[in-house]
Amino acid sequence: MAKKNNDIPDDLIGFKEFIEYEEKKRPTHSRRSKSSGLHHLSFLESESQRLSKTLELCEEQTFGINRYPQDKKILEKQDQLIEKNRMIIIELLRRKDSPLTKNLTEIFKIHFGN
Amino acid sequence: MNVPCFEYISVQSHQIESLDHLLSKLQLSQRPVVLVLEHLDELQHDVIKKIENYDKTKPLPTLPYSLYIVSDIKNYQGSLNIVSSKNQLPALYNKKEKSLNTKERNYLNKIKLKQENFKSLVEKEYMNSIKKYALGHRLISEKQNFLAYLETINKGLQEFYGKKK
Repeated sequence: MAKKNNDIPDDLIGFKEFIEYEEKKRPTHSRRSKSSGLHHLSFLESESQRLSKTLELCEEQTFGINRYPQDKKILEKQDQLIEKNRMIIIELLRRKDSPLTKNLTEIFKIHFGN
Repeated sequence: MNVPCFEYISVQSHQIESLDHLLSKLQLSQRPVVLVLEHLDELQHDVIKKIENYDKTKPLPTLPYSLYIVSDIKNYQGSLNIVSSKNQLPALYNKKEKSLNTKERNYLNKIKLKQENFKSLVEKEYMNSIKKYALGHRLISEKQNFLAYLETINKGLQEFYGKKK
């Protein structure tokens, strides 16, 4: 008759590993790497969105500037106003009692006499 | 293919040739670049001036990414983005490079595609349109100044004749 092993009773055969099982601590770095991976993913996602929006904005601006230029009309209006103001000033300075005429008369009198 | 995070470059020389070479090689369409000048001490002003001159002759792109300079000079008032330490750089791009998984790689491919679109749009159309727009508005500003000058004379003359009456 085979001698039974005293250390391991018959009833516990097959359950030994289960009894002696100690919960092993999970390596913490795996969770950390997972979260950093998600961090990277969200960064790439937001960067992609940012580029899309900026690209859209640039395209809209380019379209708007080329299609509806405002500067030509404003420049035309300014030219008209400048011309109008110039004419008024010339009219005012041509008068006999204008400060320009008076000053010029004085200068001529000093240099060329009466 | 690189993740669009900061690329740090430590400037080693203040010679104009090497700086020109360095600036011409920058790939600002792919990622933001940081030039570190802190270690150059007194030469920092000289290097920044040379970078400004380069920017005037061959404008450095600001879209989609910009050039940043880490320097400890104080009271800088110019066109360059200068910060006193790396902590002051935009935190968004302060990432470490690592190997990417499939999903991240897909996003990176999309980003790459958009960067290419950006490059063609900015170089061909956008900058020309903006320059044209800026030129038009500069002319408007000049004419407006002249108009204001004429209006001042006009007002002065009106007052002169008004008093006289």
